[in-house]
Amino acid sequence: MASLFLKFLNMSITAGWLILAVTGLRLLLKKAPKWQICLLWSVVGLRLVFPFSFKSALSLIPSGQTVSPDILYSADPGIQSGIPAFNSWLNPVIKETFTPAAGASVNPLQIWTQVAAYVWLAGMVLLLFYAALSYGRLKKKVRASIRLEDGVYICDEIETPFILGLIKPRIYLSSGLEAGQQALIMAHERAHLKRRDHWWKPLGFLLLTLYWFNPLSWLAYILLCRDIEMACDEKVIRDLGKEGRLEYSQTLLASSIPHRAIMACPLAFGEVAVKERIRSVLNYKKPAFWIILLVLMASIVLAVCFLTNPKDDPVIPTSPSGSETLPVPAGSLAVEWFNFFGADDLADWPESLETRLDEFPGVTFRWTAGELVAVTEGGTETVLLGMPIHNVFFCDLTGDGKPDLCSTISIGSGIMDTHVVVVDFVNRVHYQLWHRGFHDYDLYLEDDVLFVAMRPWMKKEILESGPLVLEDGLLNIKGRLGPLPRGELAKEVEYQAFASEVGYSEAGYLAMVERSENRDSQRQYGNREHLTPLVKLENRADFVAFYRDLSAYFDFGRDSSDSVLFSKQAQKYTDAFFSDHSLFVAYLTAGTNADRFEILEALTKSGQLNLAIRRIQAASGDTVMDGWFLLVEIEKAEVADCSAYDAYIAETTGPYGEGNLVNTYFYGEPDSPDRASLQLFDSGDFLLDLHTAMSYMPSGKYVIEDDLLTLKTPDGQFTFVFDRRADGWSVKADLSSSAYAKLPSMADGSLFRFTSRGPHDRNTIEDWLKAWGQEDVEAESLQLTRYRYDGSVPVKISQKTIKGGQSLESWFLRLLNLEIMEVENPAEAMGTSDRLELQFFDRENQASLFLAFQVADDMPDRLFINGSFLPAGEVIPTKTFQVTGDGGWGLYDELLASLN
Amino acid sequence: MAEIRLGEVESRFADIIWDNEPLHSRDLVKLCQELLDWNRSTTYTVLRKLSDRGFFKNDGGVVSSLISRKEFHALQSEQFVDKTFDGSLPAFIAAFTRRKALSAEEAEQIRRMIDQAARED
Repeated sequence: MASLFLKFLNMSITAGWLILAVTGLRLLLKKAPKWQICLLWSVVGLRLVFPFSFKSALSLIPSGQTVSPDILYSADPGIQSGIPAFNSWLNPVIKETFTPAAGASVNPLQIWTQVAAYVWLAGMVLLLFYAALSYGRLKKKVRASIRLEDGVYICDEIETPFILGLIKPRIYLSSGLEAGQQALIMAHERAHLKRRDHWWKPLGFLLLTLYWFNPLSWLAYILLCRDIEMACDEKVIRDLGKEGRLEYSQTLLASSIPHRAIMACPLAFGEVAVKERIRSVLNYKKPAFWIILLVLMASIVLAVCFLTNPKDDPVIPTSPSGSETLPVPAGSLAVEWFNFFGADDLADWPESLETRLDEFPGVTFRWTAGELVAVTEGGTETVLLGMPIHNVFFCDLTGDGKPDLCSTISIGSGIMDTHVVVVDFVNRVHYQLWHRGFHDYDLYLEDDVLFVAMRPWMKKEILESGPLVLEDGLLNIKGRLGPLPRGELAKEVEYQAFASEVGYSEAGYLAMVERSENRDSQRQYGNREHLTPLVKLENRADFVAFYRDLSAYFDFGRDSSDSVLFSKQAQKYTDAFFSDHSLFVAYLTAGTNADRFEILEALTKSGQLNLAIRRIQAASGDTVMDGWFLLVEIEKAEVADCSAYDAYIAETTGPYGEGNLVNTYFYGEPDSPDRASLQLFDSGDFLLDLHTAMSYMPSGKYVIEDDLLTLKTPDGQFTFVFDRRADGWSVKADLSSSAYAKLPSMADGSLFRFTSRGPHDRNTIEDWLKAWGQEDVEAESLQLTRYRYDGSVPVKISQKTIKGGQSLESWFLRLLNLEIMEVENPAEAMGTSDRLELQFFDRENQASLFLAFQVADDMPDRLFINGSFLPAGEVIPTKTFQVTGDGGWGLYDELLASLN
Repeated sequence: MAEIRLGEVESRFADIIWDNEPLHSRDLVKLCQELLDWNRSTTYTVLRKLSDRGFFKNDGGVVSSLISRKEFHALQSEQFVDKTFDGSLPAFIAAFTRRKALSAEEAEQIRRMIDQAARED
């Protein structure tokens, strides 16, 4: 609010200069046609409407930013009006009044600006309220009016004619006018309509409400109203003879035109100088061409000089090849080298950038998305690593007179962590601001001041932001009480790791999850697709039990060319090994492609061991699911402080990145040979299946902008563009590569209909219902049936129907909110079991939801839910889930109990 | 009595009542809808206003006039004479006849009107 107010304050001050200029020109150009004067006002309007403007050396505005947002945090507040004498007069006063007392928590100016911002808001509300009130009153007055002709009405209650309405404007005339007068007044009002004054004047008023605190905007508004009237008079009399003009001026005098208001223009500064108007009507001469030309030129000059802010920024080289010297301003101001933060499509980024700084002669900084290096004659030195490095700003935070490299980088890919690194290049010291798992930090430039934003981890909204400072070796927001929340510096851990191919097993995966250390942390992140179970083994007995239990699911004797044999490796894990080592086992599933995995790094931080894993994707795979153990041996001393352990895929390399499937869209009917599909991933990747018979499936990065979805293959060969529709995306053939235009799915207008959301955000039954568009399931009654299910024959044991009631309602809600996880291989999980079927019915006694709890004899501690989740007869397939959250057993027991 | 006056819009409305009275307010609403493009509440608002000013009355939904059209025009002329000729009828007639001679028939008519008015007093 306060910074918005400052923005408006600055805009109003710059616009003030322009208003003064127009007012001056207006006096000089008395002979000019009035419509041109109105043109000048539109320049003022433009200046007030658009917050941003170009910088120009021709600018006549003394300062583009009189009050810097930095003033809120400054220990030495002052303004830059652009007029030195004025600054030197006012700044000492400001400084004396507003310099924060040492130790005070907030700058007094911060409070005053806040107060001013609220006063500003109150004024706006008041003016708008006043306008609404006047409009309402007029509207009420003119209800009793009669139509004279199209769009023209006569009303007894009004004394002055006016126009009401923006879209279908109506002219209202006061009654009792003589015919001649009426005709002239109508001509005047029609001229207003033709000139669209019924839009311009309210627009002017709207700007006035925004800038009401500036007296110059009132001046501008009053003059604008006058000029509009005179321009309108001018338009009417242009074609009248001398006689007509005389009559018109008499009408002006006699009739109510002078006390008029267009469209309830709320403040009737209306007594719009009748004298001035009559004089100009009587003196009207067709303006000479040269006057028109002169004023037009004046407008252009005015626009260039006042629509632009003074030029002060150095031009920043961002050309991929160019390597120019970047001038860095002294002091706390920053300069941007490049900033791609928020531009998620890496394909649009340049491949590399170079720059040099005067302060570091002989050094060229070269950036690629993953690495920033310093190139000297002596060689190349890595300055920064990132995945990617989003932006770099130069700013002297250390105060040593040499700019520091301030950068926003991300680490991770499945789980992203964005943070800030400042490199003091002189001493090769890194200052970091990061809080992985809790907050993201990023840098941006606001009016040449380097700002840092703190956001919730992996979320967009900004929790806190302000100018970045380096105090006592810690990066912080200027003036903040206490340091920003941060993680400790991570410590790299020595490890030895082996990959062992053991095959895929859903039950084995679940068994690993059961034993895993990181189950809880993964649950917290709600991203089960990426759950990489990590088991910690501390001694020989642990290991033996692990080996015995897990060998039921995995093939420990599997011989594969590029991995160690687990059964052989197991011989190494003796008491001697465990006396000073811990063994961590992570299980990774490889999908149907031939992915490989390796440990990227092992880090301890804040009592947490993080095993970052790299997934190496193969260009093509087989169709067999595969699974891998990553065996990580770490000395006990290294992880002595750790109480939490996590493993995650931090990086994916290979032909295309893969995130979590977000949405799937289908073209064509399920059994159509022309079926096609589009999958969008949260990593920004897409996978387009053009046709069931086509083996080429384009993939790459996608961008959604202005309701247009653009898919680009990384080789630059193909682009596919879609238009947003209510139920999916439709092909825009004219913007797409023509190579596949003949396929029915790629014809112009082909609709890819939204079919399902990715599984990763479906954590409850309600989520699944939503994903299938079935969220409005009703539960008026419930039929409970208990079965004993043996292989394929269900034997009914008992049955009961429950009609309505509070317990039904609460059961239903609890059921919907149960946390569940889809089981990929239900057959493997289900043997002989107890089955409790729940069949819900709606008001009309139609089946609305059908599912069953199932407890298998061989897995008595696990609760499964099985069902189509849909009324009988629908086509969505039956799925099996394991209940993972709390409360499942409680609900199950209660339902069972109600049967007895 | 306060000045009796109707605005242009009000006269149109009054004409509708005078032409149709007595009439049900429902029908008045319908007529105004048709002839003036007014909605219900506008009609009622104007009717109430003119009733307050003593022109019409709305008795249980039946609208009728308290001042007839003739009376209204008479009052209008009276006010005109009051305002323009200080209430002097002779001055008014003098002004009227100065430019335009009265025909014998008109003079006779006027004389009869004056006689009748004098007898009533």
